[in-house]
Amino acid sequence: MPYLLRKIRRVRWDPELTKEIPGLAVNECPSDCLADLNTAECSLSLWLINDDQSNLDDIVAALGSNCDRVANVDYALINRDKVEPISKLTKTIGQSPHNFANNNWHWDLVGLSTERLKRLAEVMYSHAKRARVTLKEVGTLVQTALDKRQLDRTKLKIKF
Amino acid sequence: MTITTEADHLLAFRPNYVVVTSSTDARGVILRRASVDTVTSYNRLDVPASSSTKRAITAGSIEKELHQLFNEFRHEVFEDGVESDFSRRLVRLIEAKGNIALLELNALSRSPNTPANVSAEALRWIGQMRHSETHAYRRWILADLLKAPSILIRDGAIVGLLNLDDPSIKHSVQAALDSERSEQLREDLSQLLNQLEVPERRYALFIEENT
Repeated sequence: MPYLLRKIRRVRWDPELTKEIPGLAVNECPSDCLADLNTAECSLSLWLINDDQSNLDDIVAALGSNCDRVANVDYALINRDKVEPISKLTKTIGQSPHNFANNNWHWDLVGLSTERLKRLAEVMYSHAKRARVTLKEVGTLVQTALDKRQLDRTKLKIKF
Repeated sequence: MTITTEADHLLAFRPNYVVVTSSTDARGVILRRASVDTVTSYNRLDVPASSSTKRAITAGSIEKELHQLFNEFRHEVFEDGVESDFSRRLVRLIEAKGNIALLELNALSRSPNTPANVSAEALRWIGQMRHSETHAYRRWILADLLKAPSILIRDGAIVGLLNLDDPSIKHSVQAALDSERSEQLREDLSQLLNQLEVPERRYALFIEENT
């Protein structure tokens, strides 16, 4: 079963955070998680990750190169079958400097209402694997993608 | 000096002077630090003499500027790798004012009234900026804030230290790992330790960075 990846700020999803926020019950999804789920035209950008995660480095390079500076990339990885019941998934072209990733692995979760977005946040909070790729690792992946001419330099904001 | 505990480590790697700053809640923190360390070498360009009236004015104005900056961005949604007016202004301030600005930032980050998300963002950027004159202070602040009460600030310190990539703070990271409550942050601290075990081959501190 393939996965869907969303770039997040990992600490917003840490269950320990709920203990520091007055009024929030344990296991309740903090509203700050929604900051990682900003939508446009009721669609949310997601990246498809192969079952064996063989394209994970490419997606991290796509995300890492789509920034002002090389930085860590935190992400949430969730089974596609957990997302499909929430709203419709549509394959679209991504906007990162990584053209191959844009054309092959970018999807939008479309037709989102606030209720559906809340459900997605809760599913991600309970079921997603969350991980961090460090600045150094991201730098290496972006540099490798550049060396392989996988990145469109006209879209790069990072100076190398 | 043989370093056997985290306290020894922080003592050894603490920058070798302290500054008493202006009169707000930030002051207490700095004064407490000053009280356990009577070293007063004021031979650095950016640390005024203890008798100087200019110092209080400068530190006060920097504190005011930082307060204003933090409050202005308290509702900002920050994203890793994306510059903001906050990050640009913060980095400019530190580059211009040096360690005095960092001391104020350190005090501000420890105040319960400071928005933790903004402090955490500041820590990410002070880890990432390349400014040899303030390297030691930035390292010290980040290592010390691994023990902050707020999980957001501890996370910011971890990311800052990943960005700084200075293996001399391994002892502090190990100590933080031993006491960290969050499973997720324990993973992040282990990741940081692993990175510091294998530093970049060419990594070496310049003398001015390490004092």
